[in-house]
Amino acid sequence: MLSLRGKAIFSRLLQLLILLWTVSTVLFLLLRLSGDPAIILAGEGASPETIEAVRIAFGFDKSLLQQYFVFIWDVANLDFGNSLVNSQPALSFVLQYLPSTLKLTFLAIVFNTIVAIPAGIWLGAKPNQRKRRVLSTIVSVAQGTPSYVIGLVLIQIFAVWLGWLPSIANTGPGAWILPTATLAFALAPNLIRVLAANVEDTTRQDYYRTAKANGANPTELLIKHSLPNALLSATSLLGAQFAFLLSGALITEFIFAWPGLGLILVQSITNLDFPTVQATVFVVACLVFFVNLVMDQVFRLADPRLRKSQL
Amino acid sequence: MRRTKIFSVMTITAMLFATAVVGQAPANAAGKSGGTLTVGVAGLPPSQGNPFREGPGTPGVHTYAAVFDALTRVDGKGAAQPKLATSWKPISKNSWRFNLRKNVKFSNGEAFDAAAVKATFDYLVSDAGRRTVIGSTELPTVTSARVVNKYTIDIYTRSVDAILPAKLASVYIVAPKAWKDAGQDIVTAKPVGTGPFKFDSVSTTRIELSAFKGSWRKPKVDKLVIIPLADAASRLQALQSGQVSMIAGINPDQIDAARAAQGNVITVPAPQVMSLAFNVTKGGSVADVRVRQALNYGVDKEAIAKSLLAGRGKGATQGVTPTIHGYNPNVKGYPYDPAKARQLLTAAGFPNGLTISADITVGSFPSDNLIYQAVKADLAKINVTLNYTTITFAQWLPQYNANSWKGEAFGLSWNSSPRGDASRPYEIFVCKPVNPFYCNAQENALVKSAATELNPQKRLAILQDIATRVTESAPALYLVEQIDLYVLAKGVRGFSVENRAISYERMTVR
Repeated sequence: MLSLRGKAIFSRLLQLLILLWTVSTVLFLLLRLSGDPAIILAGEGASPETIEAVRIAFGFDKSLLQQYFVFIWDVANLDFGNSLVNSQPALSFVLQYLPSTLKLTFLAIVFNTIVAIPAGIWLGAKPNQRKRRVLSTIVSVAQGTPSYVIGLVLIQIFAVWLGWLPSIANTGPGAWILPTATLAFALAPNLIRVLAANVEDTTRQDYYRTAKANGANPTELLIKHSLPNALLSATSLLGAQFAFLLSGALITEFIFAWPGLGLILVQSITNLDFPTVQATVFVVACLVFFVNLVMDQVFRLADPRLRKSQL
Repeated sequence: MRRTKIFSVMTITAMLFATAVVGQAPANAAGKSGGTLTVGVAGLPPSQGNPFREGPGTPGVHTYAAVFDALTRVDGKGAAQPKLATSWKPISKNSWRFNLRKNVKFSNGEAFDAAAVKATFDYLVSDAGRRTVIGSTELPTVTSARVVNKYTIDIYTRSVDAILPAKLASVYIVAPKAWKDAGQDIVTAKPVGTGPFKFDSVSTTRIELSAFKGSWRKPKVDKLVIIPLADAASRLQALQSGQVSMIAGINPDQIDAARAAQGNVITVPAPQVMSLAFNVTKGGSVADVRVRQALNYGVDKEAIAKSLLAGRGKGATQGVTPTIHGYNPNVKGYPYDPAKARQLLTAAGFPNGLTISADITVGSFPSDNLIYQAVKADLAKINVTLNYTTITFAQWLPQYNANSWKGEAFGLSWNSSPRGDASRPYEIFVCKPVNPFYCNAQENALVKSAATELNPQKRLAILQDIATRVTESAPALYLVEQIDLYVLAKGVRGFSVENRAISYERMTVR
């Protein structure tokens, strides 16, 4: 008989397996729907003989169902085959770039948090002050600015005009700043606005008014009564942003030649390197799952009501 | 007061973090790198060190030109010139003899000789080699190679191949032992060639190479770093900020910015004609040659080249460019004449105009997106509505191979590289062996005769005849002769490029 915790872990593992199976199956079907892979792999102007040779070499001559079962069996064994363009095992090739993505994601989230939390609290505490309205307007404009533009503007200022920072990855720790800042500036406005709205909302709650009536000072009101509740819902946004960055920092990686999963994914799609595409999506799906798992635990720690429920 | 302190601490912490890393800003690569040439390109070769798995053009050529050599090279007039082979001649209808350069070594110390050349060709004609782009697309006629002596090799073809020496410009010779040790089909992280540089390290964001002092093309700089910057704006910014010494590929509208940064902008005619090809074999309006000609008359190509290629490109008159062997200078193409275009449309039964659908890819050529917009605007003036859909190359390729286009037209580059010979686009586009979008029996017969004609003068005449005919029959709306733009930082000297292969060994940085 499984304990409550055991059941919860089993349930999570089952969810992970279902997620990975679904993602792998959908990906398999989408890639096959994009056309005959043999024709694509054989290249422009390939002869029928070459196309047939490619078809046999890669097993595309088998029925779709046979291909699918072979594929799923291989995925279950974490074997995505070799990259079609560089012959390296696709999964280990993709995993080489995971630390780089995690580094950028972590830095961006930290920077984002450092900027957004104080700003969001400041804005939400007294939203109608004129200077806070000005910041609120700036945040709204920043939220609508694409990260591509932010990245190029930051490069222009700090790399071209001032010459302080490099804009190309792998040139030392200095090269982390601009991509981190680009991502953080793209993400921070959202977090600032959510936090500000949450803080403002708590000031209208009964417990806040009661505390205020009992003589709590503004700092006490903010730290003890507003922040815990405001941060709780902002945490879910941070989790979503973290998951987004794992796969969605593509534009930033493109501009800064950052060796991350987003860049690998786009390059492998461009090069029609199916095994690498599949391995990358698989890794990202696992990461997103684990991020969600961690965020659930954070919620449980932060919110006593959730501790009584299952994992 | 307390809040102010908290914010102050946060701000100071952030500044300290920034200051700690700002201190490691890069040296100015263009001015102070002392021997390192840093190049920004649109992309690194996807197959890393394997020069056979991808086409001979960009992006691979930017890297492979530094590491490998082929037996021949093709000059700016489309003629084969010596490289690892010093001379050659046909010795029978289906074989050529190549005399090889002596005293050449691979960067791992292996000797370059006929056995090394044979090893490369043995691989390319094997089953595994035939599955590579070079083995299947560029060398379909080659069947075997035979060592005559240490520095002489015969290469056999299944039929007469009049321009085999030019085709071999795309076949890089790899060090046989290194290739064998790597398992032949497995890409090495450090490929070995006879070129001026050898691989130190490779990743998806940078390839670092060091000088191979024993190369027959001894380089002048100590190190070469190739960095992929897919975005043209960030490439230019990398040059402006001194992080790279040279960039390959900017947009024409960035030329002024590049010059403002004291960049030396170099324009090189690309061996490509940008076009909208017509799906003639599927029938419909474009099956009528008068419609195809009308569309060619209806677009002001010179104005497009002048305004969107900064006056550095030209309107295309035919499917090949002037630097290509087989270009016909007497073919004047279709000058802008909307009245004549309307006349032809009326004669073809479309007095009120017509609608054309096309699938295009963008981002392959300078200003291609804007060029398509200009074409659409010009065609609207002759009552032709061009509806185009932008697709990816991954979507384009299967439709091209299967000729399964839904519309009447599709974006197509008439690319004569790497052989620099007009036969390449004609062989591929006129009566493509499988699912052709256009086929003309007379033109196809001429294409076949050009492939087997060994007499250079007669062959040139045939190619120029084809140019005349393929222009008149207009299987495509020929748009512009494209350009390649390079920018060199101040102090970079010795740049030269041929067929998109940069001669890095001649370059110096100050």
